[in-house]
Amino acid sequence: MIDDPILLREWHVVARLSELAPGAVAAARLLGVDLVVWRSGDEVQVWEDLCIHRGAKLSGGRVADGCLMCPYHGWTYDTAGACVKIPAHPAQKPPARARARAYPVKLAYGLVWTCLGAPPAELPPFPEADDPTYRAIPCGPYHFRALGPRVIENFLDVGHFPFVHAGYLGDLQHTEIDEYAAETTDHGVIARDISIWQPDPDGTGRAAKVLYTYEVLRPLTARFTKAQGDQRFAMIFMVTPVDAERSAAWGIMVMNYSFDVPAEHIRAFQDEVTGQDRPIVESQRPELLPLDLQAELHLRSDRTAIAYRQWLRQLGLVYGTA
Amino acid sequence: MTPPSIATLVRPEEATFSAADRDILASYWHPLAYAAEVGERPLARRLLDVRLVVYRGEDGIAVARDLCAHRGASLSRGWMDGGQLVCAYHGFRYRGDGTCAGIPAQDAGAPIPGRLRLRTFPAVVRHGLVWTCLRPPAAAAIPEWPTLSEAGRQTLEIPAAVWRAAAARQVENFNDVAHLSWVHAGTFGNRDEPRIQEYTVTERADALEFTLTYPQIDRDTFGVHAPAITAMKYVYTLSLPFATQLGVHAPDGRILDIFDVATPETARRTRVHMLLSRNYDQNDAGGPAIEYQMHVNSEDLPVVEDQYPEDLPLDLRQEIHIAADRMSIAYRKRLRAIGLTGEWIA
Repeated sequence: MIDDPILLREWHVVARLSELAPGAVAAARLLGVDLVVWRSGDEVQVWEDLCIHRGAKLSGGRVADGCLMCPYHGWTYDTAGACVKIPAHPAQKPPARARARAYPVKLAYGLVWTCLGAPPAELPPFPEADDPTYRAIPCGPYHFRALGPRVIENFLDVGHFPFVHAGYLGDLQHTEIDEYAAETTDHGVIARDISIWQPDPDGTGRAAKVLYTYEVLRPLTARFTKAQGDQRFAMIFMVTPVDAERSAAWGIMVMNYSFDVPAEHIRAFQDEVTGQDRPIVESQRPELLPLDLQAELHLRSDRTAIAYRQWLRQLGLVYGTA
Repeated sequence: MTPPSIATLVRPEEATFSAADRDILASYWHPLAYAAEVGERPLARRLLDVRLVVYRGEDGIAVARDLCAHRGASLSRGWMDGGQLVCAYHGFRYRGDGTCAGIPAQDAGAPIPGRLRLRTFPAVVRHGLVWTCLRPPAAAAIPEWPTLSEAGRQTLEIPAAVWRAAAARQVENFNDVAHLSWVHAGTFGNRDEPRIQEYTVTERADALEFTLTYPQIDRDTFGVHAPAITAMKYVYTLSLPFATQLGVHAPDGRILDIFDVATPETARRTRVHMLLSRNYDQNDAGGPAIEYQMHVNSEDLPVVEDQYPEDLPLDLRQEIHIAADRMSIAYRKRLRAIGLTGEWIA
């Protein structure tokens, strides 16, 4: 287990509810811990992926009669994690030590969340998810061979748009970033009114300037809102720290316009954009985000990154940082 | 006199066993290949983290450290020529006893330094397998397995498979009956009868034995008859540390012996050789029986490869044991008794 005092007390996304039908069993990995995620009716359990008998992975098993059955010897666990049946000795009461290790679960924004330590009361706020004037389009998980802080910092960065996303989010003829302010608050970081030239910000084919507001909501969760007139497009981006090498990023996009554009088109666009980011982020060295600001060069346009690094330093995040 | 440690034969970055556990396991015989595999080309093998080359010299099969005495090249990259192993780097030639037979870069008459010889290990062909012992004298003999040479038997070799798992986990799974109704349900495992009867484990000098009757799904090799449920007598003999004979005895006299030998390439990787010997269904080259056994093995492999912790926990308090696990408990105790810690470093 990756023993980060901050991330052990965070909620992390481990599955999408729509991909976890009743009776489904899935494997996940969080902070180096293998997890089994399984669903019986509307109840979802997240446990350590281990049968205490012979250490087999429960994620290879199946759900029967509301219980999870180990694939190796059929030991059967109820939703409370207690072993209720040992088929080799059906008359014997399973020992009390025969239990699965269960973690807390929250279901929100169509996602399954868990926490390996003492969980905070609230999930990151995303009010647009419940706002009927918006429609929500999930995307990801995007798998990175990189660590969360580098992935989030890339999400917050606008300076790379003309280069990595030329023709998508930026334009090589418009590389300059106007002044903007970024501040660290008690809850994270906010950077307002970042003006960006985009070749086709709303899908009409007309280039225009748009205003971005970025917020860091949790150490590995950020969002932006993109405004153009009354049109709002927002995206929340949650990075799950898989292990010491890998991350999985889950996104939800919301928009209050273009309801006629199929969700698959919007998701495909985001898939393409993230596909452009991935090789760059995976190539970054050092892999650990340097919280000592002297270690890399910063420009005015890096204000959000500077504020993010300062905030992580205040929090005492260890994972993915140096 | 205690033979020296073999730790010096291991590249430091490739050490997955603690030196103490490796030295204990190195004093047993382990198979590296089927004898039939050794011929035209030298074979690269790994045993207990040590890189080895297996080749067929003029006088028989030889096992040596996979390291040319000249410049440390891997000899398994070379080739065979006239019963000699030729190094691919500068063409140095080696005999089966490890001595150098020729250095192409110097005149034919020039002397060959006596130090220029390979570090060889004993190579014994038995039961169709090439066995070696890295740290002789051996702590136990190669298992006898007399039924293999009984009249009326046909022996089949299952192609060797590499499992990404510890050898002891593979062995324990092969000696486990309670998983048959689950992992092999519908193949030969009987999901309707998962109960395991009481049994006792007999301790021998170098082996553990137990016998159990299991109502398995009985399929004939050629699929002529419909599958039936047959109360098979299973006779297990585990020769420490990693070689098991499982005799499957049907009431009508059919006997299938399955020999499972796990060779620890590293603490996390195991080469499994398996022989079948049977007194029935012999009117074919064994194809269907081999395929069937490979299918059974493929049902075990993903479960065993996923077990955690990867090393077999020799401290019995780390997992939970039930009556059906008597063999597993006895096995873990015997591995401890020969001095293994199970605290492997990989």
